[in-house]
Amino acid sequence: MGIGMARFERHVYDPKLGLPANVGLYQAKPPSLLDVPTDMKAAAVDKPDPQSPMGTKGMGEPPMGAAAAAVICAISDALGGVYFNRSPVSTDMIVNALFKRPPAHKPLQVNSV
Amino acid sequence: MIVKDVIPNFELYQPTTLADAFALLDKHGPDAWKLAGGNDSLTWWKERVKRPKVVVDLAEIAELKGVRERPDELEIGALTTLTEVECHPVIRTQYRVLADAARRVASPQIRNTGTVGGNVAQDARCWYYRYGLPCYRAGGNTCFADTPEGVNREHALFDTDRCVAVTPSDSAPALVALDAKMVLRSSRGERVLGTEEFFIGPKIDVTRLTSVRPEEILIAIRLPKEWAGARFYFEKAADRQTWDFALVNVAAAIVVSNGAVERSRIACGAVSAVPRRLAAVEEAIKGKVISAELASIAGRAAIRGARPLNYNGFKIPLMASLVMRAVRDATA
Repeated sequence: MGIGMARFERHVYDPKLGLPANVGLYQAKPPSLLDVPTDMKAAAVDKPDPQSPMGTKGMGEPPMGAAAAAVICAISDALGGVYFNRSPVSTDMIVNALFKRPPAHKPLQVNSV
Repeated sequence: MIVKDVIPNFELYQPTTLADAFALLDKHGPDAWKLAGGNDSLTWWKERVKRPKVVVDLAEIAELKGVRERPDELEIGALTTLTEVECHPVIRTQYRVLADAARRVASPQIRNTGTVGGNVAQDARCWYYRYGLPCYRAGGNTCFADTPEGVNREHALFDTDRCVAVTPSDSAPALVALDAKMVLRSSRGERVLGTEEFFIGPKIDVTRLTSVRPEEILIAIRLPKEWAGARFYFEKAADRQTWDFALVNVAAAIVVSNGAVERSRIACGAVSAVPRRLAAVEEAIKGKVISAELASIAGRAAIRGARPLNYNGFKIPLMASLVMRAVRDATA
């Protein structure tokens, strides 16, 4: 899930028509078995959460952000320190960064209407 | 809001001979839809974007299946599955580029049902077109992808004319590299087309990607012996490793004699509406000794004339890199 968030699962809309571009699984692209490492290591930060009554923390979905961050940091490192500051980092963004081309995506916009 | 839950009704015919299939196609004309493996067809129907009145299922016609060895060519029936193409011993040893390309199509389940004929004849994957919008390819009079805000990461770099969709096939560039002959038959006779005539761009017909007429069936693909056992290379760049369409793919067949390139055929998919044969690259490497420098020249020659849209500029260095690697790393 975190790897999908880091690399594949884009939310794509045509800004003029408001139509979603990736309505099929072949377009939304959740990662498959062939897209994830066979050997993954996970570790817990051994500190209780002061905000919860028993010091408990979420399991399952909450560590997804950490997984996505790990993958995106690895990509940035492999590219010699390119910071994308967004996810997912899709193939086109990596190719553009590798060949020192300007990114195709536009700066983030706030809808003020 | 269109309800996209079930496939609309149609009349289903399952002929067992080619003669019966031609009779049905002649009777129903453009209303008839030819069904092979069904991977492309069923998506269209499920989305209710295309609603055929009549479906002619070709799966029961035995003579469309299997690989036949002839003295001067290898004939692959159009309904041979991609798995069979991938695993066939002669294709694996003599025409490896096609086996490699077939192996990179979609997923194992799709390759088990998907046919090689269906893979080359499949329709464009432009998401605006697939959405059912009335674009040029759907018979309308506008293109939604090539607009100032159009989302066109997967679209074409070359030879666009109104439509900017690309060929989605992985096996098509491999067949171009092998100089395959496509056998089309109808009740009126047979046509054998080279890949350059079989795949057509929007300048010739904006609504079709192949020159198969409604009354015709692609019955077989013939691979001539002259490229058997050449040095081959196939590579597909896609977002993920399975069930994905190529961002760019490349197929090359190179014959080397006395250390120099004697002849070659190199083609890239997913950069224009047809698998793009790179004549400039073939010319640039002819008679030369393959080296890293020559491969780099080949890569630069491949992208000459590319015109990027809003989001697909990354395909230019990607294509140059793939062609560079094809020339450098093609092996027997």
